[in-house]
Amino acid sequence: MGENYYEILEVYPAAKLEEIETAYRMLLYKYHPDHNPDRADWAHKMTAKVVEAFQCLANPEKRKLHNFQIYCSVKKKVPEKKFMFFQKKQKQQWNEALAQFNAGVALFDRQKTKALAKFRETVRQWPEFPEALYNIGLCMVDMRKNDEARNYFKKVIALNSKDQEIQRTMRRLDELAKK
Amino acid sequence: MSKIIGIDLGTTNSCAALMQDNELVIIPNAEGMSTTPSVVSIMKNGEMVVGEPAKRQEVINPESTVFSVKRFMGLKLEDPAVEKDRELMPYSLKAASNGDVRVEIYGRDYSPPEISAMILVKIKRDAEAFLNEKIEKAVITCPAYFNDSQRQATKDAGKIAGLEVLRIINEPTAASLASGFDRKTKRKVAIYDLGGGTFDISILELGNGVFEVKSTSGDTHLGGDDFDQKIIDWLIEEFKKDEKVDLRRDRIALQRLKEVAEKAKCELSEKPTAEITLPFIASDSSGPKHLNAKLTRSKYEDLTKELVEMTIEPCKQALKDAGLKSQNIDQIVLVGGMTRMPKVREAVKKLFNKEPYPGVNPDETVAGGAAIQASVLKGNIRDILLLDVTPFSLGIRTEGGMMSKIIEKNSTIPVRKGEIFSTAKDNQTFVRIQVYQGEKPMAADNKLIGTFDLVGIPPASREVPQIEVSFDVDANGIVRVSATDLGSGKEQAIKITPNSGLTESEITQYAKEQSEVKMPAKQDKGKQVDYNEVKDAKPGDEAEVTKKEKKKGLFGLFGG
Repeated sequence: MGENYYEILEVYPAAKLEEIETAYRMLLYKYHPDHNPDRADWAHKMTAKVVEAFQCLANPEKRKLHNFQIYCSVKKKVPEKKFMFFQKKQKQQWNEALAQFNAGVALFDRQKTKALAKFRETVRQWPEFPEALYNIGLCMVDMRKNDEARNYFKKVIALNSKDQEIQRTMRRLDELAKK
Repeated sequence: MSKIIGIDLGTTNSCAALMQDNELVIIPNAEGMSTTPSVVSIMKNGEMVVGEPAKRQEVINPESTVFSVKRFMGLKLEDPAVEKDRELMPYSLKAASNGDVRVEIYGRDYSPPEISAMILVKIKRDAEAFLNEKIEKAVITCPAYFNDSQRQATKDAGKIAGLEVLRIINEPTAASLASGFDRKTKRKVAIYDLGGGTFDISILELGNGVFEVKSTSGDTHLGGDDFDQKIIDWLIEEFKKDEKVDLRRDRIALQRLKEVAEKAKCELSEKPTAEITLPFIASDSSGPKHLNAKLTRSKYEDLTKELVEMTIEPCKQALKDAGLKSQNIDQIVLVGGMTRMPKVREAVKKLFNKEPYPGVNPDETVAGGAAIQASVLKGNIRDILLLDVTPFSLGIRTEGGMMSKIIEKNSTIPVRKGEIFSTAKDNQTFVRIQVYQGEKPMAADNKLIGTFDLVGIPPASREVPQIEVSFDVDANGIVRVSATDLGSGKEQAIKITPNSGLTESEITQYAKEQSEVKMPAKQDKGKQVDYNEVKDAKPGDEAEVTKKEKKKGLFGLFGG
């Protein structure tokens, strides 16, 4: 996960299914262990990647989800927050929330469910955390819970209505939800 | 570069082939046949006979003649399928220290890969004699529905026989390679493979020379042997009715019954009736008794109706897994000797509503496919690519004994999937992970293929260490596990304890024994060895044959 399958298959994102199939088969000849006996490990790894990419893009539903995911990536950076000397308790709370958030980001590409738990924990510590809410939304999309995802994105908008990116994400989500 | 041969290591018959100057050659054995019976007979002095000569003397040495050993490859004695098959075998089985099946002959234990290796050694030597060249490398086939340990056992057999097994490929997939399709046109193909002991169905998609398996299903304990058994059971019942004698307890009679049952089965594919005669099959106070029976095709079809039907469900499952309907299949290929049976052809025709693809030799196609794959691996064929799938899901045991699937069944191989593991306690330095293969939700209901320990985890509070464990299924369908500590980026030490199979040192030892063993010289001359000659070949054996068996053995001469 976290990779652009179009790049792996060396096709344009607008490629037709037949084009993807042809590219896939050509790449198999290039990478498959049968045709690369002298570098079996590399061949194994590359073939596994190509197969994974093809199986996603050959399935219209999965391809739509992948399109969403490559354009709406996980939020990793959080603007720095300043606390006054008397806000010691809040500062501590924020730091804890931030640690959870970073753990979630680290897990995001590999294990969505565990990442989700971390982001939820972040929001529990610090409810008005737009980046964490946004990332929860992304996890929801991944689990095909589009309506719940929309609710989380709305919360992000409520916190910062001027954010252009979230508007784009909402539009992409609508596209994804369309049959 | 030396030649690489393709070997179909079958339950009842094996076959070898080679691609020579773009021409597929089936390698005949020393007896001049294209297939070699997968039968091994071991003598008291450790000498062995393999193939046709071994099959010929099954009747006189039932306890020391091993057939259908493939049914026990990579399995444990307690496996329900083994329990069932065990009753049908005249040779005796026992469990090794790890629970694996062993065949006991004259007080020595033989592992199924060792017995298979003896067959492979014969094939190898016959091929060397035919090609006048040393053979060291091979592609060997196995049923698509073989699990990890069965595949591993097949690979071990090759190693013991002194062959470098470049690839294990699935029988139905091999068959598709050799079926002679036009490689460029896109189409969907079903391969129905009913052999001596196993049944496989694979659905493939072809295009640009890529043979991509979409799904596979089957039964590793369903084949011609079971059809023979139905006839044997019927004969025993008939005999009991007429003569009031139960032949079931007489091993030699059973062996003779098996021989005629197989013959009758083959005859019934061509003719409406088969005559079965076995003189002097038993005797009581009234004198010797003879078995005379007439089996009609319709009676035979009645007896085996259930077996034919057992193949239909896996076909439907494979179609479902491939996301296809039977009418989407463009071609259907029948492989395996059992597909000669008219009723089997009819059942397949009915299910797919299509005539089978013509011109496919059910006995030689699989070996041919293995030879083509060998040529691909050698780099001689550049426009063919085989892409197979793993027949079972692969997962690990998680909390509550549940099976957490990591690689789904019918995943295209090679495949790699990673999973992140952490610790449950503070300062925990190792994690034990149990790998299972199967589809059931509870891990314990699936097959444990191995246990491994993640060791050397740096001390930290619980759930902090992140170790990514990669599960790889290579192009042979064999599972590999590796681990990386995401914190340090270091490769983690991983120790896998396979739940079954032979150890490296056992393999080396058996391989050494095999290379030293000389087959009886008679076999190399390609002369048909008959009963008397076999006797002559091993004078030390005489004492072992009791008087009673001798008498029965003589009767075998009339019966054969």
